[in-house]
Amino acid sequence: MSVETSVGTERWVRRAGVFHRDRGDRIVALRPDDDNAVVLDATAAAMWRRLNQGRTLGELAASLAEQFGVAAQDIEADVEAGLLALHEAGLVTRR
Amino acid sequence: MTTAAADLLPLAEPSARLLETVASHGLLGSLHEWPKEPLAVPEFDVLLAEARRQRLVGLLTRSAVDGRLPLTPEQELAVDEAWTEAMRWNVHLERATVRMVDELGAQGIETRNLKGVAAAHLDYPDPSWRQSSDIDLLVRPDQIDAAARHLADHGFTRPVAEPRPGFDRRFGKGATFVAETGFELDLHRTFAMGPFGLTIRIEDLWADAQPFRVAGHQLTALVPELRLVHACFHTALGDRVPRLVPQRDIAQLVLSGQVDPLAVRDLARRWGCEVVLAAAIRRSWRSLAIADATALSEWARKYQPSPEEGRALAAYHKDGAKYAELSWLALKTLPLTERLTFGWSLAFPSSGRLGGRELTLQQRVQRAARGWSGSKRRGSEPPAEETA
Repeated sequence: MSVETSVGTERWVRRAGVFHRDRGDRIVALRPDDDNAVVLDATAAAMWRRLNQGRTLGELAASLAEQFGVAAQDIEADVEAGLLALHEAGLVTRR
Repeated sequence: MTTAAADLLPLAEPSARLLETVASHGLLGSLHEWPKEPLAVPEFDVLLAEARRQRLVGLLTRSAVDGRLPLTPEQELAVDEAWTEAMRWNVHLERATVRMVDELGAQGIETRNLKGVAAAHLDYPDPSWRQSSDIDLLVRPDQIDAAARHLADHGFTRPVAEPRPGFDRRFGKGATFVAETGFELDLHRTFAMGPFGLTIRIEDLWADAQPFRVAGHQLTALVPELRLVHACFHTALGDRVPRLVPQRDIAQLVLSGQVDPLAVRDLARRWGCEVVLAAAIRRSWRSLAIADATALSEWARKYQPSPEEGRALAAYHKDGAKYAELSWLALKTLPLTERLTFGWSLAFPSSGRLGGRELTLQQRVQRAARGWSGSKRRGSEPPAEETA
């Protein structure tokens, strides 16, 4: 099953062992097996921060929607794209 | 809140005072005043450069994010860039720390994390407030040779070699190693060289510990009282102009209520380093303009060093033959049976063991004599009031 088809139903969580610094609107993260640190912008940082516990795409979108005062369905596509980018960067994994 | 006016006199010119203001960010008891408008370009450039040099970019950024330091849009971009660069370095250092601790642990070598990583995770509201420049690990004296061998076998180089085999284990502060990737790793046996380093009871450093977690890995730090004493050593005996980061570490620990003041004073008395603590805490309170009076800050304010303590402290801030003078002063603190070995190691280091410099026998004798005469001559000077 590809990441794209499973992203909506599976639970996602931060990858273990990632070293990071968080200033609220930006996160610098370093994977245990990669020498290139990744810089997350405010939106990606908000997503990654919430994945300290396992969440589905819907749960993540709902949590972000509540913070930013928008409807969850309005941002779900963007959240899915963000989640895939975090997965590609090796910062999140399926639980 | 009590104002101790005498301790709050400005220490420095305006640009340096602004850096002290940045270093005080988040301390509720600080009386430093923030600028009302963004700084002009030259002043901001100096501030940012100094913040980089003194590893204060985390606090500088935090003060801007919290709205204390007003910035122009261009300055915001410069701060963003500096923060990202600093934090990239810090996460790399942190990962390297975990790897080194694991590697040494696999060899049966126990470690305690000192300063940077431990302070960032245990003593600050958020680790991004406290930057590190290198890795500092405390190692038991009887394991320091094995740790050094392990590092050498794994690509680390040692710019300044051990004076004689066994010196690190018996008398040294520790040794600095440089990784192939460029970061420095300091292996510590104790907190300082010289007389204050040799009176530290090594067994006290290992009596207890505080675990903490970084990215899911467990590391071990000293207990808060020892972290405070170490920050005081770093402040009072480190650079000629004390750095602001260890001063902030002192404030964090004293004001957090983590440390037992009586336990700290008892430790300092047993180690004969009360003057070091008093000078460092006073300096921290003055640099950061802290108005709060705590049991330790009041004790430090009233502490009167003996002439001998004043001379020993002053020796750490001399130009020139500081290493030799500190070494000769350290002789006095050693048991008679150890003095000969210690003195011999310094006066007559093994061939090729002075950072690659070969000395003739005549040069070695002259070097030893310079250290001895410098120590004797300065021994008659009046005590410094406060040099830390």
